[in-house]
Amino acid sequence: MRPTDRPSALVQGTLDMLILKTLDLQPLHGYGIGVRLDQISRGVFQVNAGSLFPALRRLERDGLIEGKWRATANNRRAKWYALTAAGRRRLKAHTREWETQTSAIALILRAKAGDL
Amino acid sequence: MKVVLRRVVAGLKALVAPSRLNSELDEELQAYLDASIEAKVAGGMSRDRATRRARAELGSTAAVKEYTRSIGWEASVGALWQDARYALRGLRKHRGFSATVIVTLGLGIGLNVSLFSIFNTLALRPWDVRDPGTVVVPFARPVGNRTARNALPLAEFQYLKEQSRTLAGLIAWEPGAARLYGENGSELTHVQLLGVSAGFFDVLGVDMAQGRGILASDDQRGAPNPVAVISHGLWRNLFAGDASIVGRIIRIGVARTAVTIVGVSRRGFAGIVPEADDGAGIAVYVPQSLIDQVDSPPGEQDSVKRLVGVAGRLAPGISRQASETELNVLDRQFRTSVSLDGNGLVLTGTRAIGQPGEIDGTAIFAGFGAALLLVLLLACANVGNLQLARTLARRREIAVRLSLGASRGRVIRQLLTEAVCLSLAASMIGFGLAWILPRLILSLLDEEINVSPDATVLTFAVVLGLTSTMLFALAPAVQATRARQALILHSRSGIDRHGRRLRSLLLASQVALSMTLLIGAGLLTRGLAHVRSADLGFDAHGTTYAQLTLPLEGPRSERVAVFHRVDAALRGSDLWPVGQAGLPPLSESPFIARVRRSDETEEWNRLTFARPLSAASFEILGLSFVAGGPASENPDAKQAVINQTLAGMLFGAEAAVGRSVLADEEPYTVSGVVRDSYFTTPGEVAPLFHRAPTPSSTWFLLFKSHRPDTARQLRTLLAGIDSRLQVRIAPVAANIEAVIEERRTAASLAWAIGALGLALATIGVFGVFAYGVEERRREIGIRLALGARSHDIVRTMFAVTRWSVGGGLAAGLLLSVSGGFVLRSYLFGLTPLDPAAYLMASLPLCLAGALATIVPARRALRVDPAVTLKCE
Repeated sequence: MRPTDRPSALVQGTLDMLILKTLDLQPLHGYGIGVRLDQISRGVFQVNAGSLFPALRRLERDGLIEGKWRATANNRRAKWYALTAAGRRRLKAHTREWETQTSAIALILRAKAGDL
Repeated sequence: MKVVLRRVVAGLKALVAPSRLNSELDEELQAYLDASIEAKVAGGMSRDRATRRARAELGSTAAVKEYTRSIGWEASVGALWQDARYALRGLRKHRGFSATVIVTLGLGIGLNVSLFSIFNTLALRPWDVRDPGTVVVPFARPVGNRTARNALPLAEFQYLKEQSRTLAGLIAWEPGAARLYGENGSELTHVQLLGVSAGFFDVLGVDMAQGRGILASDDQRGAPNPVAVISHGLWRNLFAGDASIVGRIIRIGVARTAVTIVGVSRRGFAGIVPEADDGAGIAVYVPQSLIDQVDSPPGEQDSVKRLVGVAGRLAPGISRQASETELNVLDRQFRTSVSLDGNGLVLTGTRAIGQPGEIDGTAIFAGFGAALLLVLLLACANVGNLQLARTLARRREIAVRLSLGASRGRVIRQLLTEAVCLSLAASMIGFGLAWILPRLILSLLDEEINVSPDATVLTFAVVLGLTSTMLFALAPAVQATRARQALILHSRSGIDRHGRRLRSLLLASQVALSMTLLIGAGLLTRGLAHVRSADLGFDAHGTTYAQLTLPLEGPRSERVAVFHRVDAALRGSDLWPVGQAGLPPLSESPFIARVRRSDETEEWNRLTFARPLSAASFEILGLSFVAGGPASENPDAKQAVINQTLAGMLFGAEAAVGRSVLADEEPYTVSGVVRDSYFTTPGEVAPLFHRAPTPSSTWFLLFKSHRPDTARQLRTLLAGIDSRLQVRIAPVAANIEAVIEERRTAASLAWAIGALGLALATIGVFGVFAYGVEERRREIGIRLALGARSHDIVRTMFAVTRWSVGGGLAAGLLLSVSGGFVLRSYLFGLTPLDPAAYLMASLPLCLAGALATIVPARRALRVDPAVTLKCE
C-alpha cells in the first residue's frame, strides 16, 4: 500500500482493525505498531505517521486502546498502547464481520458461469 | 452512548487545555522519530543517514500534527475560532478593502432589509393580541367578483354573534375620528376613535392597564351613562398617567357628548385597524352605539347597509375551516332573511397579507423587492470581483498553506470565514439602515407608519448576509485553492474567457445605468431651476392674487351679497381691471368638471379641471384666445371658455365656438377657445373648463403686480365692504415655489439612487481593475525592470476596463438621451439635451472613474521589479 496524503474512509476502518489486532498480541508504541504491521504483512502495509497518529488518537478517544508513557528498550520514553476490554470486543466483532465479508467476496470472485 | 459521552468529554478537555495535548503529541512524534532512527542504526545504517532517512519517511511533522488534531469535533470548533481570529487580523490589516466590502454589502442588504421591515410591519405581523393564531376575520364575497372581499353588515354581525357555536366570541368595530374636550369644554386634542362592540377587549385578549373594557350594558343605544376606554398613550400624554383616571369625564365630538372613562388599554396596544396604526394609533374606544353621536359626519343608520369590521375568537379545538363552514351556513340564512345577495364568507387570519385589499400591495412589494435584490446582486458581483483580486494577491499565502499541509477544505473554510465576518458586519449595517431608512422614506411620503425592525427582520438581515457571502466569496475561494494554481506558484492564472465576458458586460451595464440615473437626476434638478424662468403660457410673474374668505356662519344670501358688493366696488375703483377666479393659477386642487358634447352620452364625459375665470382675468393673465372670446359675465347666459386641449378632445379639428356642451350635466355654450398654457402646473397642459365665477365663501381676485400700492388699496376697499372678509395676498409666482418644493424630493431621490448606482459601479470598476493589476503583476514587474515608463504601464492597465467602461458610457449616453425625452414633462420646457445637466452628471462620474482607477494603477506602479524577478 502506497502511503497516501490522507487515509480514505475505507482505509481508516481497515487500519483501525489492523492496529487493534497488532495491539491484541502485545502492547506497542507508535513506531512499533508501524514496524509490526510491516513485518506481519510482509511489507504490504507500510503505514506512515500521517495515517497512524490520527488513527491512534481516534481509538484512544473512543476508549478502545489506552496509552501509557513508559521507557523503551533504548531507555527513552514512549507512549505504549494496549488494548482495553472494549477494544477487544470491538476487534472480535470486526474480525467476524471481516471474515464474513471476505469469504463472501471470495465466493463471488471465484464464481464461474457453470456454478449458477 | 458511552462512546458519545467519552468523545464529548475528550473534546472538551482538548478545548480547555489544547497545549497539553499538543506537547504530548510533539513528544510522541519525537519518540517515533527516535525509534525509527534507532531501528535504522541497528540495521547497520550510519546515524547521519538514518536520521535523514527517518525524517524523510516521517514527512512533514506539521502535516501529521494537523491530521491528528483534526480528529474529533472540537477540532472544527478550534479551527473555526482560529479562522475567525486570523480573518479579523487580515481584515484589520486591509482596512480599505474591508470597509469597501462592508459598506457596499451593507447598503445592498440595508435596502432590502428596509423594504422587508416595512413589509413585515404592514403585512406579516399578526395583530398585537393574545394568541393571534385563533383570531379569525370573516369577509363577505360579493356576487360576480372573485377577488373582492367586503366588510359585513352590522345586522349580520349581530346574527352571527347570536348563532355561531364555533366561535368563542365575536366582535365588531368601526373607525372614526373626533375632537376631544375636557369636562369644562376646553379642547384637548383630535383623536382616532374606534367604535367597538361589547367584549372587544375580552375577546381579543387585550389586558387593561386601568379599569375595565366595554361591557354589553355599555353598548346600548341611549345608554344613560356613555363610557369610553382610552389608550395607554393618551393616558400617559394627556392625563399624565393619572392613577384616578377611571371615572373621569371627557367630552367627545361636535355635540361634546360627556362620556365617563372606564378603563385604559394595556401599554403598546395601538388598535387593530392598520390604517390607524400611526404610532399613536387608536386613542379612544367607545361603544358602537355611541359612535354616531361623536363621529362626524354620522354614518349609515340601516344596520343591513351599515358595514363593520368583524373578528372572532375560535372556540377551543375548532379549526378555521370548521368555523368557516358554520359561518357560511349562517351567512346564507342571514342573507335569505334580509334578501341580500352574496357569495359566502371567507375567514382570514390577522396578518394583513392574507386579508383583502392587500394583494396589490404585495405586488408592489414584489416589484420593489426584485429591483432591490438586483442591487444586492450587483453589489455581490462587485464585491466578488474585489474578493477575486484579493485572493489572487494572496495566492502565495494560500499556496504556502497548502504545501505546508493544510487541506484544501481548510483553506476554503478560512477564506469563507473571512467573508462571513465581512457579511455579518454588513448585515449589522443593513439592520441599522433598516432602523433609519424606512422612517425617513415614510416621512418623506407623509405616511405615518411606525416601522420597527424585530427579530424577524434581524434574521432576514443575517440570512441575506450569509447568502451574499456564498454569492461573492465561494467562487473566488474555490478558484484560489485549485491544485493547479497552488502547485505552480508562479502560474499566470486567470478566469476563463466566458467569465471575463460576463464580467465586462456586468460592469458596462452598471456604468451605463449609473450614468443614466445621474443624468436623469441632473435633468430634474436643472428642470426645477428652469421652471422659475420658464414661459408658462400666461403672465405668472406679473400677476398677484388675493384670496378672499368669508366665514361659513349665517345664511348664504349674505355671502352672495358680499360677493356682488366686492365686484361692484372694484368696478367703480381705479384698481380696475381686477379679475375674479374660483381658483388661482398653478393650483393643482382637484376641482374638476365632467364635460361632454351635448350630443354625447354619459360615458363620454371627459375629466377636466374646472377653473372659473372672469373676462378680466384672461386679460390680466395675458391668456389670448385662438377663437371667440370670454364668457358672458352673466352666469345665467351659461357660457364657458375651454382651452385648446379640451377643444381638441371634444370637437377634434371642428370649430368649437358656439357649440353646446354639458359640464356636470349643466348645459353651456362655448364662447371661446383659449390658448393652451401651463395653467394648473408647470410642465403639464391639462384640459380646462372656465365658466364665469359664481358667489362662494372663498374666491380669488387677480391683478397686475406692477402697481406698488394695489395691495394696500385693495385691503382698504375690502375692509370697507365687510369686516369679516379675510384677505390673503400673494404673487402667483409663489405657487411655482410650492411646485418646486414638491418636486425637489423626487430630484433628491433620483440623485440618491444615482449616487448609489455610481458607488456600485465604481466598486465594480475598481475590483476589475485591481484584479487586472494582480493578474499581471509579473508582467508589470518585468516591463518595469526592462525600463518601461510608468504611463506605459498605466495605459496597459486601462486596457483591462477600456471596453466595458467605454461601452458602458456609450450605452449610458444613449439611454440618457432617450430617458431625457421620457422625463420631458418634468423639465418644464428645458431641452432634454441640456448641456449643463450632462455636465453636472459627468462631474461625479469622472471623480468616481478616477478613484476607481488611480488607486489600483498606483498599486501597479509600486510593483518592485526586483521582487518579481527574484520570484522568477
